[in-house]
Amino acid sequence: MATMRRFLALFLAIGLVTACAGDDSGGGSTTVGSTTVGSTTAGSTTVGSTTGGEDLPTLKIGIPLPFTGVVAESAEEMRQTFLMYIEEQGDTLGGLPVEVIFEDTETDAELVVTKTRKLIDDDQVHLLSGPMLAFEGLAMLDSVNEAGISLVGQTGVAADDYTRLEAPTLTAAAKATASQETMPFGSYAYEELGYRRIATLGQDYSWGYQTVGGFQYAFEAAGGDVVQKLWAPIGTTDFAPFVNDIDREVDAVYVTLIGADIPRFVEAYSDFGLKEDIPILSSEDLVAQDAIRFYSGDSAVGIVGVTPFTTSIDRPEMQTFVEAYEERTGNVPTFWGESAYVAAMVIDRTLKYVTETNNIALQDLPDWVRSNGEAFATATREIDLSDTPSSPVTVDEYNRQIRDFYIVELVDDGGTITDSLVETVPAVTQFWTFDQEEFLANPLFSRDFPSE
Amino acid sequence: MEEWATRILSGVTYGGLLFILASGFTLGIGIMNIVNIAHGALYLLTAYTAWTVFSMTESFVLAIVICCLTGGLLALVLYAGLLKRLHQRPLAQILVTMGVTLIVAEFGVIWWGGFPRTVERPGSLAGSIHLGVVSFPAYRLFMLAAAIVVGVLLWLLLERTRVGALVRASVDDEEMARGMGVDVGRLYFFVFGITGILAGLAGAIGAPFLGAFQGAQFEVLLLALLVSVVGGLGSVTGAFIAALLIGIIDSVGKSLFPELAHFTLFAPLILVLAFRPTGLFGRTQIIK
Repeated sequence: MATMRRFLALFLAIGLVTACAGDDSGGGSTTVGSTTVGSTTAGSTTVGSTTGGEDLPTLKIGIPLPFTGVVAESAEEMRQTFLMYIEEQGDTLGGLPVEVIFEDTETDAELVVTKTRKLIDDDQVHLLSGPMLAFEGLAMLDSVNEAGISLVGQTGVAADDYTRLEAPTLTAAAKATASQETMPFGSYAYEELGYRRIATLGQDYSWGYQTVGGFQYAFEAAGGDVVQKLWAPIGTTDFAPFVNDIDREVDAVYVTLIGADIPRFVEAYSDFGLKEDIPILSSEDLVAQDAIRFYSGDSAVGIVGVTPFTTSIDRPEMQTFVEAYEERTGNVPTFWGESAYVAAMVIDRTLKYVTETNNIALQDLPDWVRSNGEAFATATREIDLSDTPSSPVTVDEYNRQIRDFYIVELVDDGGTITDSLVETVPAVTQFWTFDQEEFLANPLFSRDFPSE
Repeated sequence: MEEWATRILSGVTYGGLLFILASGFTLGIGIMNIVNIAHGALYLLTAYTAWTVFSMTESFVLAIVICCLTGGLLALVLYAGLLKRLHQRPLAQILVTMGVTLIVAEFGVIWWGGFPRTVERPGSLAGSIHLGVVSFPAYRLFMLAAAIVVGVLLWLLLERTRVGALVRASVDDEEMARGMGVDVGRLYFFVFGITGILAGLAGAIGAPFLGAFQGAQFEVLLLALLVSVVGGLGSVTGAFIAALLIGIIDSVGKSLFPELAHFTLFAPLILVLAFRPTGLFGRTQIIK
């Protein structure tokens, strides 16, 4: 009886655990018609396989994204916008019918590698896109290089590292680098806002180092002085010690934090009364569309930040994108979804470009793409991306974005917080105004570089 | 002087929250030998509930009441449905409550979405209170006051009431208590309900400070474990003192040694385990 009960309990426990952990992340081959988009998160979506009368081969694209875990909602947004672009092109990319195979990385670095290998070896995809998170991008890199397959990066390739790494088949035409975003803001803080002494508070990991580093580098090059640098571990529950230690003699505090740490810091900052005295400057993290949803009350009003994406700009492409996404999902899109959308756009236009310039028959295009990863990535420099939703984009010799950034301020719009455009910084490169060689001679931005 | 007053006060008030987060958990593990991994999940669910109630009614008091009821009710269902059958079997309890945690968290994603939710500080607790040397955020003082009230009530319940005496007797010698005619089953049902109410209270009070977000289920569990182990399993006094101590060490430690910010929260745990493995107020051999 006792043994029986023990088995029952174990069975129940295993049942409970698997009930939630298991979704069909095996990437089952769900084929869904072009009008309905599959409801399963992972799995493949075939669109437009019957276009025209001719028998064209299908282009297979593999995309690993973290559909389970803390960022699942944004990963789903990326899936939706990627498919949205394909559907807008009459269910094709570069004139070919497409099969997109989404794999769930479960926010796990090891699984990213496994799933990438699966896409390359088992599914025999012709090119890869994604991922979502910075560590995922770095984890994929070896497999991508080994296979020589092209990776059209989405938000997960923002790390400054790639410019100094061997990544010939990567194109980051759909995402800027971390310090690229904050360097113009560092100059702006000195020149336009007139700040001279600044303290920084960054999340204690690479995205924090690179955004804080970029800000400081440009701010100090302009003549300013970063007098204090604080680093908060991810998941800091109480920000009082950091807030209380901020030097009260500074003109402003520059902040990069992520996730649930953002509202905690903002609340603590306002609790201790610093909000009235010392303004907060920040990376996209505190002012972007998805961060605004974190806030309650008016503690966040007045934060000035830099971002590659805001719906507050007056740009027809943005308006069209927002309307299309709202109609599709009922939600407002964020920079996550836009990056995936632009990645699909990059694939579409690069396919057309290589077909024309190399005289490739559509029949042979998928195989050509698979075996010419580097040529494909390089070709993304030549395509026209002047009409992406958030900014005109060109691509530099490292396959990275040159794009506009927006300085926005959070304002109280009749009870709800929203971002209002303050200034546009046009055509920012990953080296900002600095000499490329000099910039690359520096070490990567880190906890200690630049120092206080 | 002013700087140090702020540091210590920050630590003590944060400690107040830690105690509220941990009290239900330490009661469950210390008195009933139930390792309730789902404690963090109860926090998460009730914190989400607090967000919903507060956004709809703007009443923080109502949010607290509903969260306590929700927490208590869920705990009773959890106990009657699953844990009762796993009496004195910690490993099975851990697995089952882990499963419950995953289900609850997934439910949270479906119902409330994946983005963090923060409850606004209720109007009367939003500002600062002037305390002689320093001016201090009212909500943090409220957390400390709530912790003191909870601590005193729990202590009275366990040490000064008949129910408390029965509970202590059952913990010391369950067989003997049963022999004397104590309905241990019903008693445990009652106590587990209280752990749920405490988890609900933690959800309501924690929501404006920590927020409700995916990941909170484990973060809160870890904090509860930390306080319980340092304080000594099952000791309310121990948990209270441990929580304040951890809060102060974390606050002062982060100021004096910012480069050790990752460890200040767990430094007391290492020290206590090294010199007093049963915790500050723990008795030897609690888990049989």
